Amino acid sequence: MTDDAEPDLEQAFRDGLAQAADRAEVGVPLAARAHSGAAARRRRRWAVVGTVAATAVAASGVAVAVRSGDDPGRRPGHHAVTQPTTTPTTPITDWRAESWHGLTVDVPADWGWGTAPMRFPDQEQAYLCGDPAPDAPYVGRPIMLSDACSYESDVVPTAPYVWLGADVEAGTVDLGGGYTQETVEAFGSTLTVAAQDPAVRQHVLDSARATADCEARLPSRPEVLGIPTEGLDPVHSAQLCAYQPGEGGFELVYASTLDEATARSLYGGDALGSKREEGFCSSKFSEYVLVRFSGKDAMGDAELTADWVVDPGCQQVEIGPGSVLPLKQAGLDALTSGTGLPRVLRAFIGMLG
Amino acid sequence: MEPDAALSAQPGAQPAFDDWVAARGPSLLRFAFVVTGSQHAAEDAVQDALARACERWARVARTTDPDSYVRRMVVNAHISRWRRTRRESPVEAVLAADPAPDHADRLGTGDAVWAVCRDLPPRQRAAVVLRFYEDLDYPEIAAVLGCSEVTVRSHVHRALAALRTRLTDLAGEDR
Repeated sequence: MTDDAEPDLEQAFRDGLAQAADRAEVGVPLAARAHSGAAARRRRRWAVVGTVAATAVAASGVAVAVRSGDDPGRRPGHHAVTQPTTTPTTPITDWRAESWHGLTVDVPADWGWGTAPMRFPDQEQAYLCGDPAPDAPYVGRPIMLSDACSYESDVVPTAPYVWLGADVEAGTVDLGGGYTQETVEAFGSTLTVAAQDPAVRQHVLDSARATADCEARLPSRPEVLGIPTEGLDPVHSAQLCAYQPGEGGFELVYASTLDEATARSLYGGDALGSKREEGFCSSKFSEYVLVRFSGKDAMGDAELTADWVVDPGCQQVEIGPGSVLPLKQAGLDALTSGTGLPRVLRAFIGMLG
Repeated sequence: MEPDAALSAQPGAQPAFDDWVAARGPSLLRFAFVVTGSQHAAEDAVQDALARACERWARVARTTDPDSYVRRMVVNAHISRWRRTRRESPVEAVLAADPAPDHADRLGTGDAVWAVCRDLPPRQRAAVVLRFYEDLDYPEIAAVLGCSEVTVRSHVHRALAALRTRLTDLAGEDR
């Protein structure tokens, strides 16, 4: 299969395209429009600061990095859009855990979520599928946030980042602009950190540890094995463990802990519908979020846990063996508010269109 | 002073965004026109790409080839927009606008090329344009489109086959 054998046809294409190109109207005020467009993009980014639900952000089509609030008392609570950030001038004191498969690291609590280089089966180089150079710090995973993929080889970052499981060779690279990218292999994944501040790089690298709060790998989708008879009251917190299909089962792709208010909102609020379903709807995404609530036994003082398994693609929740209820919008909001789920699971990314 | 001359007046210096757009904008629009197939879609794609380039111009200008970088942004902007809307923008029948008989042969082939492009999905059309309008080689096109070199070759091969069929049909009609 080669075009070299058809020089006449190739020339016809060259001539035909050149003729067509000459018909383009080029007297367009491009620079003015570009400045206007850039200003509009900035306005759109700032317009969604606050309590915009992840699904609303997705529906708007505005591809922005979201981050949890800085106030530990509210974290994770509300979405906010990260603003362009330069090298920190003060030491970072608030960190959060991020997990990918068997690797967990600490990243600055106000960083957003994004993508990381990934390799496709028939390609030699890795691609970033999403914004190749976000203006805000982020932690990226090898997940397609967009089907527009690019290969970046010579672009200086404008913000620091951490990549978990990226298809990057171990080693240290000077990216220019004061940025150094360092990649190590840790706990079965790669860990990449790019930052101007060597203290940030070192902190993240030193924090690498085995994933503990969630199972890194499951042979089959998570299931609810049992529930407290009387339920939990009050609920203290909830641990989220999100899984996608992987080699030989399901791999952990995201983990987070909901604070007390959000956990209570999810567990005791208006999160679930009442109509019982026969089972999960078999979403094409095959993604599941195990939610483990911690709290007191409603009829005693014992500390108990209760599990839910959420299928975000179906918006259904298994609350007991074979007992599936619909997840209402309020429940979806509680689940995604302040978490990275909308930037990790395909069920949410798909809404970006 | 010609726009290109303005850019080359200070060797090694990074061009200002507005200067670069003034120099390269017309070429960029022509490229976008054949990639997208319509004036409207071309202006949208170029505006999307330039708005993003404007925001990060300091970095874009430092790349080894800002032209290629922005062209890639145009392709991605068009493909992303098409993916979002899931609809094909109509390719304008631009060549049919000049029916002068003494250009019949040239227009016949040109029409055939444009008709073939019209029928190609955006990513395939981009591959053809990058190959025959931009003269990129296959690895470069694969890098721009985020697909394998084999896929690019397949896109181009199919387009050539489609053009051959269309030209053969045209010749049959003439007889």
